[in-house]
Amino acid sequence: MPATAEARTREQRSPTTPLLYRVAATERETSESVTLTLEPTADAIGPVAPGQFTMLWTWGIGEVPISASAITGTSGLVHTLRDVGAVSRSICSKQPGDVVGVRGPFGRGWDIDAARGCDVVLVAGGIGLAPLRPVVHAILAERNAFGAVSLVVGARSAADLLFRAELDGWWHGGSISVRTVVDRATRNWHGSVGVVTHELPRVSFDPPRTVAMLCGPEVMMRMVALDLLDRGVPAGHVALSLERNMQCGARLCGHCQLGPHFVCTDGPVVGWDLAEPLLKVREL
Amino acid sequence: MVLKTMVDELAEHRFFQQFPDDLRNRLADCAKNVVFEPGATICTEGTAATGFYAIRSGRVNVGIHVPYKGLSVIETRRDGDVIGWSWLFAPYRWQIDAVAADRVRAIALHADCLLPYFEEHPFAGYRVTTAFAQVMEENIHSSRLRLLDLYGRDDAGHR
Repeated sequence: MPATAEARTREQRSPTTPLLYRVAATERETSESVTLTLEPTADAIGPVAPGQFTMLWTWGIGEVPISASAITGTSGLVHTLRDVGAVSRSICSKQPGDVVGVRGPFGRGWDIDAARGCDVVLVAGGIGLAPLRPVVHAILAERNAFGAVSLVVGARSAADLLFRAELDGWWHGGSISVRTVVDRATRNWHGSVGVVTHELPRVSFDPPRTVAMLCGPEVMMRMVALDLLDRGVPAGHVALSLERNMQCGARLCGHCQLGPHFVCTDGPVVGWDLAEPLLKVREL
Repeated sequence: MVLKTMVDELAEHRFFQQFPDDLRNRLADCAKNVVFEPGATICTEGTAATGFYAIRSGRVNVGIHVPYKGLSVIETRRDGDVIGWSWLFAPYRWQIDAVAADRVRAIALHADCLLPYFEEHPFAGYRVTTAFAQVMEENIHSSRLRLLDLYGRDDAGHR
């Protein structure tokens, strides 16, 4: 199809219409998490930016919003998801050759350009490392464009750490500071035990010139954001990826509404200055 | 090479930076430097708690010994942290095990020097006790967060 026709088709396609993607590869990350590499069977969705999500659809079961865990630079997609329900369990069980539906990309991603020239603090909890991984890749691709870069990763246990080999590579590479901390230690775990906030006082950064990106359980992000503000990081420099009930992805259904905002289009990545007053409202 | 006094070393440590100079100077009289090699036991549950440790470098695993399983690590303490508050209260016995995970350099402060001074100078005792209360509050908060099992729950999300 000529490029212009393809673009026109993409523009005309309803955001609620999935395109078919074939599973090209799977990689089990933990007992509950899998990384899927997807290739379009025909038409592809538009380019996905770090922090954006797609809706992954499996026949007869449903859809889930999943953030990109790597940016391929081609029409392929890489998603890491955790088996927490019927839909994600079905998608996690896909094998190479299986077909899933994909809609998107949706939402606002991480503003990596805003971090240029700044120190960067990335804090990930659990599966939250997946949406932040493309940010690490982007920073490493242009390492000199950023100041001191620190990644703090929290997980339930060592066995629940995502991208373990890649984390080790980043740590050994030395161009970014990597700290991992687990809730519960096993005998073969030689790292730290505790919570991510306990690691923050040891992370070096220049607060007014620091951009922070947080992704993980909302309670964790709230605690980390408040600690960063206490250190002097401006609220507008702290971004977090919110998790809400995304359904349509196009601010049509209202399931993901958060006050006056729709997380599917105004997020999932939002600034703490926007999120803080809303997250204070319980059950919002 | 510049030799540092104990007062200098306390002034560099996060825990002691909150105290006025005169109190820090007095605390320095009760302090000495100690080093623990990796795997060395720093304190053992049930034994006399004779003071506390301020970690200058290295990591310390704090936990409880489980029969036939060894130390069950509850949390890792590191530079800037303090270990031990059992010396403040009767029955003055450690309630934890602490083992050096790396080579640990620490400052040991001795209860038999501190407690009589605090009896005579309640304001100094109040300052140190509230500083420990803050450490306890942080530890309780950390424990509460982990009791929630945030990363393992369904509301930890799937994307």
